[in-house]
Amino acid sequence: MTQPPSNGPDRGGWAPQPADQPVGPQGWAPQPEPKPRRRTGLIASIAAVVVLAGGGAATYVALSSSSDNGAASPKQAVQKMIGDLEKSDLVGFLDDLAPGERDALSSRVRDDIDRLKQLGVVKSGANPASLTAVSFAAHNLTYANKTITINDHVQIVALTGGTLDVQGDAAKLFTSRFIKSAGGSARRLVQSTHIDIAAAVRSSGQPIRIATVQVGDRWYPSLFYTVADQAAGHAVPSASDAVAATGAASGEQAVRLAVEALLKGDLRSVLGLISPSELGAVHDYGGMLLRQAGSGLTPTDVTIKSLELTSTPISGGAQRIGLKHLVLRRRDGTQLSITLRGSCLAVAAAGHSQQFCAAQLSQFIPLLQSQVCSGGASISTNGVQRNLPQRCNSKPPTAAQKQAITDLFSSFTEVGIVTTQSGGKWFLAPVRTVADLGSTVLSGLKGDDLFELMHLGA
Amino acid sequence: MLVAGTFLPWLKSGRASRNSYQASGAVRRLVDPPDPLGVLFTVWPLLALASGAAAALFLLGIRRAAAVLGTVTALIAGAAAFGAVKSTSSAYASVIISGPTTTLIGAALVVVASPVCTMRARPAPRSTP
Repeated sequence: MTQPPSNGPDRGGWAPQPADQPVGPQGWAPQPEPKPRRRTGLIASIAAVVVLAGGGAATYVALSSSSDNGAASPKQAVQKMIGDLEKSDLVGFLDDLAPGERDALSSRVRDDIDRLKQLGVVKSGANPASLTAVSFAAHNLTYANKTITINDHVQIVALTGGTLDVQGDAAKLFTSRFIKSAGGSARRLVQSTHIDIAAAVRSSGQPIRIATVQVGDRWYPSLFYTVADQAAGHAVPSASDAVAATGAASGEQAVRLAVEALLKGDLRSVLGLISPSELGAVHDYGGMLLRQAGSGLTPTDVTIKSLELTSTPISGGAQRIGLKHLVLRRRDGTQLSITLRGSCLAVAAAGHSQQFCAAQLSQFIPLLQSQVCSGGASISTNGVQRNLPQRCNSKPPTAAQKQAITDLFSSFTEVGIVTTQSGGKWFLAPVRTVADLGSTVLSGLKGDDLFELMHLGA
Repeated sequence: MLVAGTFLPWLKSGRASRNSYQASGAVRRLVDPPDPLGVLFTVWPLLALASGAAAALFLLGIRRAAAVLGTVTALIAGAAAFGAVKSTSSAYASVIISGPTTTLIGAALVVVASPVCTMRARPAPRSTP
């Protein structure tokens, strides 16, 4: 039997034919001549590979752009941050910071600024993203040749020369109504500062130091390590100064342990519960902090009899731990009970109980005004206090001011301590707690509440 | 056009502008958006690869798969671009419309072209004797 030719049916030539078809010599029939499809297919394949390679290259660039964060060295990290400040780039500035600090500071910025716009504090047309109220210019900056090593993950970059010009114009950010209510004028709110770094270094004998922290294999400027370095008088903490991050099994447990440690005067345990990703400086400089605190925190004779907490998930996987019920007992058996019910706070001690609700707090304002005024103008004659409240010229709060006070305090019952997870354990996040507190209080205010409160305070 | 638009400026903060990848990375780190936005920002850099794959399938004659992949990619990119165009300035940044608009037009063209490719991919009906 004759073997079929090497070129198959798809390439033209010969192919076996079905039995019911007319056949050629020895069962094989002639096929059409080869088409230019072969070349077209080859070109298409090459083009497909090229397109796919282009897509891959573009994806590589895209992935690099998307994850472009931090810098390869401490000095580059500082230079990047200064560059972003010069461009008034708030996104870049926040993104430059060490991840823990970035999360802590940026978590509520957007909500807060939106809220301040609604309350009439920040101009609705202002774009805080561009830091329009602040301009920053750096010229001819020079750096020390070597960085100062604090430990295996923190280094200090020293600025030795150049100039910094910072100009702030609050009128670009705040509404004229807010500025007026705050007792200012737009003209006085323009401030500019010129810093000659070389001159500052000569007068202080120290370069300007900016701390950087290594996370993974990237370096980031760190606000809190910079503050810690300043607070420590530029002293380098030793390994024995480090306070281990102990954490807790849950957010509620972290708060409970912190309260117990505070009552015992055990500051070291409290430091161990602070988030190492947010405030790593507290752990590295912990020994120094404890020495400075000295005997400032003494043990109390108070123990926790009962502590019920609430846990509310907030952004970034954090949890806000709030108080539901707390009973403290002293060694002599006396007890203090605090219970939160809605927007009311019930306090019981020594057989007496009192409930404070947000709606009732405005009743205390005239009393408070009287006390504040008389406190400032009180005189003592023959050991007798005489008050002069009439000098204060205080007016009773208006209905709008009472409502503003109610709104302000109604959100107070929602405040709590923010806890975050790091390395599988839960820690207290002090910076996020402060930011969250501000946001929570702002969230309770409505309409002209803030201005009513400012008038009341004035 | 769809992919080119993603490399144009999308976000402005101060005097700095960012393309869609730089913007999505920064926003993901700063805002930690909830899902499905978080997932979108995570997979966004793969857009160019998906578009390249769709084009490669088309060139290889696998037109139906190319149309499906292209349409899905274009719908995702288009939705993101439309969302960016419609969004207002936030506390963090303002949107530059040149990038999203280009991507949106590119996505629309892909969505319109894909059914045409699918129809052309169908085999011709056999003629009966």
